[in-house]
Amino acid sequence: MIILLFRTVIAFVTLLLFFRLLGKRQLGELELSELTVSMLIADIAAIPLQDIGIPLINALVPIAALFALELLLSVAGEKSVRLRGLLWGKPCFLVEKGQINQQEMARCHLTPDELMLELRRQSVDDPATVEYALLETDGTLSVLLKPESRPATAAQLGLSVQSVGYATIIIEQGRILGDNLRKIGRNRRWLYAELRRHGFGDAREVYILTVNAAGQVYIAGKEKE
Amino acid sequence: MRRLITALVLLGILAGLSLWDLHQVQTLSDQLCALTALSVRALREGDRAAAISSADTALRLWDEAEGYTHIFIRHSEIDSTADALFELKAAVLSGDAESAQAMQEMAAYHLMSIRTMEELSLGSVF
Repeated sequence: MIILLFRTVIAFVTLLLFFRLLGKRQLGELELSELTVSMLIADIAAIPLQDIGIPLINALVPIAALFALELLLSVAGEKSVRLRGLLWGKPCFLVEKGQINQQEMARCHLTPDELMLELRRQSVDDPATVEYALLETDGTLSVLLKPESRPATAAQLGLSVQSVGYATIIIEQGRILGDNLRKIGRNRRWLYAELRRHGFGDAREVYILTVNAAGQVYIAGKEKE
Repeated sequence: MRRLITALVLLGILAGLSLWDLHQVQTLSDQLCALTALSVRALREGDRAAAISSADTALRLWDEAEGYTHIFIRHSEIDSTADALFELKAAVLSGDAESAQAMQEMAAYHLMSIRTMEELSLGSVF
């Protein structure tokens, strides 16, 4: 039993380490080689965890080898456009200049239904508004609307808009995030003054508090239990 | 560049580890096969003390290699080989040369099986 526990911990830490080193892309959209590696690693790691008669090294060596091969492939792919195309394929122009490219649709094994589904996922309900739709090599669909269907930008409307940047979380479920507070150039005295101004006596009463680059504060109190 | 070096170093370490593993399993199987064969030969020649000594040495060698075998070899294979070596010793102690010969062949078969699994060949790969 204790062996299983130790093996699980070792396999877990090894997988975490390798996936961390492979990068965050591994967690989201997967290229073909990344998908292959992920599937293989998950399977290889599971076998010695279920059977203590199989040495753990039988999993660790293949995982390390797969990690090294994936690294080599990604470096080689960066150096050679040709190899990149060969290994990961090329994006498919499913819609080009407003026209659905049926040959590309067939090459990517996509039906009109599936195209519509992907468009709806991008909040596009009318294919007539699409100028370009690309099926990327990681399987995601990128959509560019026709100029008349694109939302008007502030520049097009001649408006001057001040950037408010992104919001930084300062209090999360009652806990003050000191590093973030320092990052925005504020201190606890300022924070407590803000809390009082919004009718809160203590940080523990706050569910979330954020501050954007313009200094605007968003605050939500905890729900009463 | 750092990723390339990491990948190449890692592959180098794995290749080195594989070669070391191969060397270990070859050395161990050669030594054990030789000792068990020596034990049976000594028994046939009537030198029971030498036969027991060789069988004991083989068992001790197998036990001492535990640090290696338990990390690199499937436990079912370790148990089968250990069983064959113990059976050989029992046969040698009873003075039954025919049984000892059979057990020596069984131990050698298990050792060669472990070795074949580690060696690079079409059979072991596929």
